[in-house]
Amino acid sequence: MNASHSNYSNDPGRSIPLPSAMPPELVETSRLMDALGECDRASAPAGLESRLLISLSGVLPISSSRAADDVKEATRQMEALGQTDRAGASATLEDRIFMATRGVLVSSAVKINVQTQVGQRPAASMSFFMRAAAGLLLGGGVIWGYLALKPAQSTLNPWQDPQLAVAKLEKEIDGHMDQLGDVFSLVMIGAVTEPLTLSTEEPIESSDPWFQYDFLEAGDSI
Amino acid sequence: DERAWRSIIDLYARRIYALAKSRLGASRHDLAEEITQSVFVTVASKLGKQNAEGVLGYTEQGRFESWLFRVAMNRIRDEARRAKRHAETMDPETMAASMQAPPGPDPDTDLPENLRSLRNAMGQLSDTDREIVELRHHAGLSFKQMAELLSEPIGTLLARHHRALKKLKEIMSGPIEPSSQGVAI
Repeated sequence: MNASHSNYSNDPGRSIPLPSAMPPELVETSRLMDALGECDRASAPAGLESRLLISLSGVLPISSSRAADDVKEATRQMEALGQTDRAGASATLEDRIFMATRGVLVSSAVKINVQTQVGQRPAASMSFFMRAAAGLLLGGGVIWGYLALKPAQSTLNPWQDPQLAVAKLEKEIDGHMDQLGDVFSLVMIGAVTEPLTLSTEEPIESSDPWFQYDFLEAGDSI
Repeated sequence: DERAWRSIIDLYARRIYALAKSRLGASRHDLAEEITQSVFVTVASKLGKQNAEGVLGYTEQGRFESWLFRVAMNRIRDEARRAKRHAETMDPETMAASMQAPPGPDPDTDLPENLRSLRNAMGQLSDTDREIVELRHHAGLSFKQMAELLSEPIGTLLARHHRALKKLKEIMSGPIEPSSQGVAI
């Protein structure tokens, strides 16, 4: 093995210059190291650069990439095989997997996020409407009870000063409406589990009554 | 430009491969290739990102090689640490079984005897000395580039390189000791 200076690039004219301060007794060792490095570089498998270029084609910030011709056909065949395998799955695969795993979901008290397909607007959860309705009923009931039990404070005689009486009554009504709005807001904040916007995630509580009703009853018939 | 990228691969792929192979073991050529690919994926990914000024791509500042090999060294060190942790956590029975397994083929069979002795001698160097020698002779970096890469003065690297070569010479001149060709942490 020629222990002369080796090249560290594909350009045979380039070589590694030795530092001028290297002691003469170390020059031979340095040459051996150069030779070992050259051997290790040369031992890289054939086609390394081509494989790197192909594997990086999807990562490079360039507009187009050309796969080597020898892998184009293999790539096309692999894609066709993958499509065939996916299409060959049983038609009831998803249903069977769901039946096999839903028991884990129902028995769990952990919130589960279900990924919906991107672009599909998830339907508003029934639990949201139930909570909103409960909030309205609760707020209305509170206001009704307040109005029913509240003693009459107005001492104005509407027959003596009708305009003043109307203004005071309007002010009382506004106050009651503000109170109803506050109650409604508190209920809604606690009721909203997800925004009614285009979202790709729909949280589902496994203990949700709607969830249990929808599938527990129909489970045996699937 | 794909041709420019191909030029970069042609210029640096084998240097990084040789560096990884020497650091992780001559028999780990598949791992060396994986690390080489990982390095270029990282570089390619960063080329597609905007820098602090909002400019897409890489802005040449004369330190591309140092940056590239810094990425490579980090990958190699990570793999070396991972291999060491794996060896430390292996249960005694598995360790004994692996030690009793017949050794694989010598990856340096084709090397001349002097280079095989040199490879064995490198296994007895400290990590820092071995790193200097491999960056210099396997990766082909200049001392200035190594100083940027390792953030150390050139004089320190020169002295360390000379010390490593001297030790290699002493080891090769003395009685041959069994050494590890694999990971040295």
